[in-house]
Amino acid sequence: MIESLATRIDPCAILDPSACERFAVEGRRPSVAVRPGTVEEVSRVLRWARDQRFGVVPWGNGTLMHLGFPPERYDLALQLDRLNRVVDYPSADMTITVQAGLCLGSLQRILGEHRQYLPIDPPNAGQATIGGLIAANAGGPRRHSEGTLRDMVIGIQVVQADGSVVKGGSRVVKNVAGYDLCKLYTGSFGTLGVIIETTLKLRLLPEIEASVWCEVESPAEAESVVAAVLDSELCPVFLEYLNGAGARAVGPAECHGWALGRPAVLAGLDGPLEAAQWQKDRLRAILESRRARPGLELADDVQKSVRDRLFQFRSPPGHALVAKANVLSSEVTRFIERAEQAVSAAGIPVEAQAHAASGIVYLRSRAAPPCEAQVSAVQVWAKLAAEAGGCLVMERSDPEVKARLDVWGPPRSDFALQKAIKQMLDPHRVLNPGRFIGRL
Amino acid sequence: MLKPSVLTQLAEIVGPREVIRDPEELVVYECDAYTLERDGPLAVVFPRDSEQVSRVVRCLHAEGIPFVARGAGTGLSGGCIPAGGGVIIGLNKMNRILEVDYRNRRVVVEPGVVNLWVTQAVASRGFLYAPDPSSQMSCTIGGNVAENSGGPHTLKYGVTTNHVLGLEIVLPDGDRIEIGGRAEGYPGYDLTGLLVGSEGTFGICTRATMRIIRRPQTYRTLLGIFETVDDATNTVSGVIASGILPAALEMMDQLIIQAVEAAFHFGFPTDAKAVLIIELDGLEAGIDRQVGRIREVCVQNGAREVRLAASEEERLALWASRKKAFGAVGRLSPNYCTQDGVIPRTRLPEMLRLIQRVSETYGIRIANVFHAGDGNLHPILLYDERDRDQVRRTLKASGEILKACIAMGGSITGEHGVGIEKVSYMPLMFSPEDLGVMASLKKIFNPQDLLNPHKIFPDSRTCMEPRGPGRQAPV
Ligand SMILES: Cc1cc2nc3c(=O)[nH]c(=O)nc-3n(C[C@H](O)[C@H](O)[C@H](O)COP(=O)(O)OP(=O)(O)OC[C@H]3O[C@@H](n4cnc5c(N)ncnc54)[C@H](O)[C@@H]3O)c2cc1C
Repeated sequence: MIESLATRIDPCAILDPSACERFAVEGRRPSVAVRPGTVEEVSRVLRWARDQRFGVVPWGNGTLMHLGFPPERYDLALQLDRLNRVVDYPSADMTITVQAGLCLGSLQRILGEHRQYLPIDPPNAGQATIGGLIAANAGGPRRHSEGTLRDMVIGIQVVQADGSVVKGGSRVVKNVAGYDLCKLYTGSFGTLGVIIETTLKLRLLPEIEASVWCEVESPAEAESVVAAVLDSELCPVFLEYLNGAGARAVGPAECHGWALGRPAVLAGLDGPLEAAQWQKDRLRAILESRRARPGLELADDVQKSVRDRLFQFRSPPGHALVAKANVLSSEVTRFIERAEQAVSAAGIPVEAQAHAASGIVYLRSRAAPPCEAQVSAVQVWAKLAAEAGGCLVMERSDPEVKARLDVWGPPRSDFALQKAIKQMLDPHRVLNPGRFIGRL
Repeated sequence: MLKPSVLTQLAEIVGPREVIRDPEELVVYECDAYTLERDGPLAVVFPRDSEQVSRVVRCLHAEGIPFVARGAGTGLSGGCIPAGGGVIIGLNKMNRILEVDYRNRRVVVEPGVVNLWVTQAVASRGFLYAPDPSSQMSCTIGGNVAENSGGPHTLKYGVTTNHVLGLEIVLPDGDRIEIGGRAEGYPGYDLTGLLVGSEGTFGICTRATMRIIRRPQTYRTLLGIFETVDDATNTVSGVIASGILPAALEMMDQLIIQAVEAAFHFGFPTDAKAVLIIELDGLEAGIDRQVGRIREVCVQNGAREVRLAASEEERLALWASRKKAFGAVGRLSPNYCTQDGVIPRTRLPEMLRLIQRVSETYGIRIANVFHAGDGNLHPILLYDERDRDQVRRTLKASGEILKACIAMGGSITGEHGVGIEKVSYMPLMFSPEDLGVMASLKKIFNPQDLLNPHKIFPDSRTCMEPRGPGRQAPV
């Protein structure tokens, strides 16, 4: 196998077999791992894999590899971190074109020199590659004000399963020529093509960052604060809700309710200096009018560590169970409360974080209850999420649990089209076979 | 001609009064606001709900008759022309706002709802629907979804696709599906993102769930007046680089200023070579510091004068003049054709000089009114369709501008769509592989190519002959 591959690409790009361990996904290991140095090599590898009907798992730096079903076939790991060039950065245009293997940390450093940034805050931002983040459409709290990568990717280049290179979009911020292939590949979890290059729309760094931590008595009070903020002239960059256990995991140590495990709302009020100050005052007034506790404005160093924990919430080290739900914003606190109650009898303590204005909820548990209990927990949560207008995706669990569940939730009415797209673009199911929704 | 049996079936589904078949009445439906090419429909039907749309589509599908959706017909690329003949499905009677949910910042609307109605419906509670095409007083949400429309405030708030969360779609075989929904971020391929901007070739949108946003607390609207086009375009780059993101940054050149002034008497200086409308919005706190910075940028780049709209009325009057600028073009010429190329915004100075040269070379007057902050050009080529040679020169001049956009790494269209107008430019922008993927996608949604055929991609059908004399653009 390795010999036949070595005739096609620079043999140095083929990793030592011992490295395959590093590329394990849900306990499965590839037979060979490759780190191509050029797009041409990516094409050749894929063509070769397609001809042999191999299963290929594209890799960035593996920060979100636990998402999805385990690969049905896994012969080759294709790591793209060598494709990490900045292709073009016309900073005055506020766009940048980079290769997909560049990691977000490096990208933000480059952009920061021009006081610009890519407004996403995924977990493991330092290591995560742009390609991987796009494939997962990963975001974070700031999606409320800035959207997700879906709203920032304006150009994309992909190597298809047959090795051909395809591009969508362009390098300008507005473009409706042809179908929007950027949207197709963003969030496709590497099942339709291997992302190799992208052009991104950038934002200016805010003048200052400000965060206010608002402890609340109950989920109902949190909802009333969130609703009031959203109905006011405040324009927070993010608005997060944390249940008691979540607040304890994320919150600042000096907060009174910390030990009591009170839930909290965290508002990001970044912006021009005067605006941030005005927003803090206005938020104080909102809290007062609801007779809530006064908010705690976080000092710079505290703010930084709280934000880090907040962004990292979805991908915690040492948690057995992580699930993501997308529900209506108005249902967030109630959904979380019901999700907690549903599993408390089984002795599963739940930490929850929500991008409250966007309705994205992460539920996680440190405890590793028996497989049976995990399965039934996820089933109840999925039902609750459906009642709250959305779906539940099981992001992390014991492999046996995943094996017994539909980790992406049940297919929806558009599934026939989803399947047809996969079938058309990757007919031999080379790319991440069986990993995505409906085991595509 | 449609078979009488088909006409009977259609009349049974939507009611006889909702079927137009009289050739005189059909003339209106030969084109949209792009009038260089035309083709007449066999009939026009107006369903009242998605069930009727589905039944109409099923009937036409069974008969193998092509069909195309139509909203207000304000499209600027010939998107709703029934190219090669076919039935038009008019969505204008499906014009209800079904739901407004302030807490979740959502509206659910039927496709025939006019863009501006959405903002009007939520304005009293301090909300608005952000994408604001200049045609927003007449264009429909269905058309916006199909074209992924933008507008002056796209610069800060994004285009239609950034605001659509879910769609109900009638597929070309009549099946109805839901994609996306009221919540954000359903797992699976982003079919909503794919549908928006598919120019009505994937399915007919029968319902849309969209975001509304809070109206900003305050606005500051500046009018920068310039002696040369170069000064204005350099100012655009300066503003973008200033560390301030305006809500809108629009440019008008002298030809447009004069036409707009003659039509609306806003008080534009008709001797200026260009003006910029720069709007900042957001919180009151700190905004005037930003205004000061923007003023400085204008002055540094040679602005003769920078005016600040003194009141909300003045601001609205300024925007009304800008948004009706296309309408005023009728004063300049019997016909016009608007291009929609996009370039990196720092290259505007170069590009506008090129447009000037093209205008001189082909002897076609070109006026410019466009979304400068996004680098989205709208050169308006003025011609008289009775003069065949002018028509030919107009098409050539358009082509030259579009090719220059592609050469700068840009796009042939930023918001108006490829339609029928720009099909021949697609291969200049995309490789056969790129187009191959797009064609595969079209096959999945629209396997028999019955829905809106001959659009976006070049096919064997030759270009429609520019016809004339005819009507003027209906604006
Ligand atoms: C004066 C003027 C100013 C303009 N300014 C702007 C601007 O600032 N920004 C901008 O983006 N555009 C602008 N436009 C272009 C145009 O208004 C937009 O493209 C608009 O979205 C078209 O809407 P419509 O309802 O008129 O659609 P139509 O012209 O009727 O149709 C356009 C396309 O949409 C398809 N379609 C319509 N309804 C549906 C449906 N329900 N389901 C599926 N497909 C459908 C049609 O088949 C066709 O392909 C302007 C046009 C004019 C005349």
